[in-house]
Amino acid sequence: MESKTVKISELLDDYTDNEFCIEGETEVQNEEIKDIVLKNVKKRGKPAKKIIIAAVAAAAALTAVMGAAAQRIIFTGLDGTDHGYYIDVNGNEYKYHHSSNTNMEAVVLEENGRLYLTADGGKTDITDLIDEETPYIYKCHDQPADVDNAENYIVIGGTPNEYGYDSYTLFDGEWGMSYAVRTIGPNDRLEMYDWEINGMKQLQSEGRLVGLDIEQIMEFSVNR
Amino acid sequence: MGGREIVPRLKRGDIKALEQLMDSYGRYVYSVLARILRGRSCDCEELTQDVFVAVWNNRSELREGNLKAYLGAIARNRAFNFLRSAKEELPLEEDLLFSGEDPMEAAEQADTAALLNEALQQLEPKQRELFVRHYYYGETVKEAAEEMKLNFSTAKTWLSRGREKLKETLEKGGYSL
Repeated sequence: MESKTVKISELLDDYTDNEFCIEGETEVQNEEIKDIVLKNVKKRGKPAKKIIIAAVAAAAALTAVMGAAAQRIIFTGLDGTDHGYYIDVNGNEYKYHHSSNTNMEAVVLEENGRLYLTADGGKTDITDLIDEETPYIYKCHDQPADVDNAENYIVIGGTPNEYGYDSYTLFDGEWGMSYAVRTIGPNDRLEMYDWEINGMKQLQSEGRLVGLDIEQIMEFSVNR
Repeated sequence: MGGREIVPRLKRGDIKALEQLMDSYGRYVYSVLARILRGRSCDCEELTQDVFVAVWNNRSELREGNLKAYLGAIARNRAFNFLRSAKEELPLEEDLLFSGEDPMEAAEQADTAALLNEALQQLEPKQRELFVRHYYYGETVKEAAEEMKLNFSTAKTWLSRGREKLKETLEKGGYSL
């Protein structure tokens, strides 16, 4: 004999609520939703992937002010683990902080060929939700310890062999960005990945990153 | 719109069938999500999209039947998974109706949907509403009791009665427990 469990909540998978449903009370942009679904399913070659914004309870933000990236300059910090990037555009200097790889596991972890979001202290498999072009976006709930009135979004993308995250933080009315990328094998890539650019654009379309000059960043990115 | 007409068209990859499916059930799917996610409209829209994309991507496995219930089930599962990923637990009151050895093959089980509806229809309307709010939409007993202006212990008693009625009806109807 096989063992069986019967849960009420699962039995109700066969139920249709025609009595208490709030269908008539909800404001839903059905046409917009339809358009997005149809656009996704008509894409050739790959299953539809969603750029998902979800709330998590941990902050992993490292903050800096970033302007347009003409190029990224790498140096090793005095402590030997952190790398700071100074980006010089039109005579302006911006400090851009790069987390050390040992901190990466606090945000994203690679294990047995799978990628896990760990920013909330849990472990969520996001491998199938991201790729070279498609990011996964999280909104952090907790503020960074030393920053007041902050918002923090993490954009994760890539594959188990080449993945990373961007962290965008709003503090004192200005947006800052930091990032970390890990690759299997050597990588001296300086240009932004497509998932980074798409994540940035998605956040902007959501009304975030106000004041961050994304067009200028795009113009100077060697990905263009 | 019935499954008989639309499922074969979906299986053939008829995009118009998907459009019709969304026209017919888009608002219902959204409303199920909105009820469970307590009106987080941005998430509800994303998850509504997910539901229909999932149906399309798995259209080869579709069966003719109650499409509305099927879509509702996908929507509920997506919503509950979303809440779990956000560390929001669903405290369902004694959700487990049965656990043990199954003397019957799954294929021999009676029509669950019909028995379920029969059991629920035997409850008073407010008891039924409470049952649906808790077990279908995942509202806590406290939340549902407050919304329905019920005493908490009354709500727990009603749910217990609902579970008994459900078990009794399922067993009478040939569902093995």
